[in-house]
Amino acid sequence: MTDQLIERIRSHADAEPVPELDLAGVIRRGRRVHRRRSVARRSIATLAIGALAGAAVLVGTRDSDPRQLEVSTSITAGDVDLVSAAYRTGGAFSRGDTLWFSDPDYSVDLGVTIQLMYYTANGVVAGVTNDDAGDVKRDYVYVGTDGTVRELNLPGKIVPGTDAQADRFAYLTKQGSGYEIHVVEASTGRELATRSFDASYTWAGWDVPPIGLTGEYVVIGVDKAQQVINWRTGERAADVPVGQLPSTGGGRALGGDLADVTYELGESRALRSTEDLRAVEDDGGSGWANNQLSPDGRFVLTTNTFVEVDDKGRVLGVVSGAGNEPITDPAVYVTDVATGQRITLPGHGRTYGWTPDGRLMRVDGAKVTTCDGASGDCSSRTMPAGPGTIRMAGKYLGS
Amino acid sequence: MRQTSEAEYSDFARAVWPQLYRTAVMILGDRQLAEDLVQSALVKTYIAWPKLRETDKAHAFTRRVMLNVSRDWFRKHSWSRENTSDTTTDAGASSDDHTTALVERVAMADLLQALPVGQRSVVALRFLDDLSVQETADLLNVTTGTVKSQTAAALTALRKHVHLVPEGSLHD
Repeated sequence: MTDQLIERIRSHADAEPVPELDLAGVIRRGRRVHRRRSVARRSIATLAIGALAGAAVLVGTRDSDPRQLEVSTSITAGDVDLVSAAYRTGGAFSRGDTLWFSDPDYSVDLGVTIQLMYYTANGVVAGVTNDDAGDVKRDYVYVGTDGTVRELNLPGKIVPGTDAQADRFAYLTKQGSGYEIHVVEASTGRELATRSFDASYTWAGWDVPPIGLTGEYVVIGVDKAQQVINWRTGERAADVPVGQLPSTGGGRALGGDLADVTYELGESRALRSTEDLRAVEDDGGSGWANNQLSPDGRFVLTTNTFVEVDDKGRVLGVVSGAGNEPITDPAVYVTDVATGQRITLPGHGRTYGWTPDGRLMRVDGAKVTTCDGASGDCSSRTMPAGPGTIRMAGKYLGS
Repeated sequence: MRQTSEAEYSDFARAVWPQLYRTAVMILGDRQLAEDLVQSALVKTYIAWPKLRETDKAHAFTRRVMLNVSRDWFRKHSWSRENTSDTTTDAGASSDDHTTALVERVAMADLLQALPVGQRSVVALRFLDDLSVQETADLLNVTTGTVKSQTAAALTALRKHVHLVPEGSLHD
């Protein structure tokens, strides 16, 4: 009888319907706890080093071990295609150590502060630092839309060039009196090509010239011109006239004094000029404007105002690029390279970034807005509230 | 956690989930709380996973965490034998046989919930998880004598309700 009763108890339990396990939720919670503990441990260690010597913290930062990155992500294997599609149209942005691919549900927590992000086809190259304020020397990691994170171990003070349409980035190292170009498959770290070149470079503060990458070409900002090299063959293509920082995408690059001409790389054929948007002073000077090419090369974003900021980077005001008159309703201009069609959007030089497929992106508090470069149609989504500002990807010097 | 290790953990969690959930339902008498309890235990197991390595160890660890957490819950909420949700409502029962089964199921659930928490825990661990008296005592942090007496008391209480077992089978 006892056996029958026990059997009845077992049958009763077996008949209990079992809900599906929320395994992703369990792992997410586990990672969060794990990361919180790791951050706490690291904070204690940093305090201890800092108490000994300030420089020790910097050394510790520079030598940060990839295995110390405590990464967690909400992205599951089944999400990857959705995340990739969302990323291309919605871009990437970050706050603190959290990076989002377009959507609050697609997040990757790195456990270190994200300073800036550059687009590749399947993820971003992100500059990160162990300094919570985000203003100490950075290291670079690759963050894929599948949630994977890999440290890149790039040398020196460099800004890598990335291709938003390809799984690649490029960087330069010094070699004798010249430089060496390294083109790397971003998702794997495999070096695709190494090429050497010589050129005079004195104008910028980095150890090596700034570099842009699009398709088969790297564009290198040396002194007299932007040198264009086919990285697959090592052959030099036609230079692009000297510009501002390399602005490349879709097989195109900006060139000219104010980077206001778009060139097709290879033969350096001029496609479109935005020179008419320069703010020209009354004395007839050459005027001023800033131009950026979209990551897909379809649009040029032009601003002709100056932004005044305080030492914390907060915008104090906007003045005309032709003088010091305050501008109360500043505007930016978006020119379609193929058609010449142009739209105007409210904002200034710090307002807009890009998505990988060439939509404009702006951040207002927790609201992230993307706008079509041709029609100006915009859509917004709100990110979770949190301390700190949201940084946009796709801006050369960060946002 | 390394990706291979995480894959192993995922396999483990999926495998133990049904059994742990059913044990938790019997102890708590509440499906939602049972789900929360087992998930909380699995989160702690995730964190400890690199140290656990073996599935048997991990299962025992998770079960122990689950019981510890449930004990905390009972303590914090001054839990007695209240049941805040229906553990028996399964939609779609229509035939007479099905109805009879449902009635029996309701009756069994009610009876189990009428038992003190300690007795429910002993019944769940011994008869659902097939643990020995010693293992049950270790997990519940009581003596083997307590396990035996609570088991006997629980079965006696259940046995009193003649409708739970087939007619004529009540005599040893």
